Amino acid sequence: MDKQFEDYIWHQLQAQFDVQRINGVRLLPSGKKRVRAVSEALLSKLSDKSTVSAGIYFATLMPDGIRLSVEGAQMVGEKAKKNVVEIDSDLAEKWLRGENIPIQPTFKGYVIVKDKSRNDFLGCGLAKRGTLINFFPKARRIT
Amino acid sequence: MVPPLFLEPEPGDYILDLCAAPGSKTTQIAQLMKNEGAIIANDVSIKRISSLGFNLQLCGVVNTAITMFDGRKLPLVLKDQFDKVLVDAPCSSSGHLLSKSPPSFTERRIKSLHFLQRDLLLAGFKMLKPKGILVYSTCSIHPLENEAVIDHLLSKENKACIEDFEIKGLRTHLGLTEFEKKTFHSNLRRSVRIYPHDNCTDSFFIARIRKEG
Repeated sequence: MDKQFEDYIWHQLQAQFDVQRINGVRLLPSGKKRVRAVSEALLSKLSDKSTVSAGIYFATLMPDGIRLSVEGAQMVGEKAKKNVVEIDSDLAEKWLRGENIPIQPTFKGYVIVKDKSRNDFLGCGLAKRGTLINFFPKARRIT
Repeated sequence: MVPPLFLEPEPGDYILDLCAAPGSKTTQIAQLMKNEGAIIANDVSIKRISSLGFNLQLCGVVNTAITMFDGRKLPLVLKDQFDKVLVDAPCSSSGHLLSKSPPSFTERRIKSLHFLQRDLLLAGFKMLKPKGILVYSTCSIHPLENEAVIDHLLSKENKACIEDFEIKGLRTHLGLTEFEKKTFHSNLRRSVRIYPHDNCTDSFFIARIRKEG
């Protein structure tokens, strides 16, 4: 069941971001819609323990694609060959404040946001009619 | 932070952080392990565990699972399993001499912590594999929370052996072998005390203990 789920997620990630599997990282379902990333070595140790949680929140399954968490975008971003939006430092600041930002209208669906100047990945947004809708977590926004 | 450096975590290790929240040492261990291998980060308090989970998420740590057990009872589930164990025990924080709010503690509080620390250290030692390494640390300078706790372990476990360990550039002092007419095991000289005037940090006590095979 988990193997099927994981294959499905990687297949979706390949279609969405043209990204290959990350060695040593396993993806597990968490609740109905969430995906967690766990190291392979950790997974092999987890069979007989009651854990509160393992690994990190990686992504949410949405009806129109996979929405990566900030850390998910950082894990996948470097290897992604498509749907990566590069923004300058002014737009990056707006993004980190939680604002929607303008992008090229050619982008559609969930995209990875990259701060060009810092070479850092800032999470995932929904591209719709030339606007990138912001999902940056409220607790982590700059004010 | 210094205690994870004494543990010398390596990629592929299986490590237990017995009193992990809020997770600054756990994330440092994960970084030293290059996010490989496996860490079990345990804590007893649900409130503290939520900050542990938040910090692991922020640092992108994929090799750590969080458990919520009373650390003293954890050997019932996880005996002789770990390559390395960190027991950064709850303490009076009497070494926080440089912080804005000076520590406040009573003799009674220190005595009650001493018994908890003893039990946690014994539990941590039981979960260690033969030849494994345990690091015991506190941010207290009181010998009852430090040398006396290790002395109790050495009297109970004949496989426990304190190891010398040095970090280049870090000024340290030897552990105490006597305090207020009490004498501790002579090996306690191998444990380490760090005072504020040494490195311009708060005070710490650290001991690196090996379980002989």
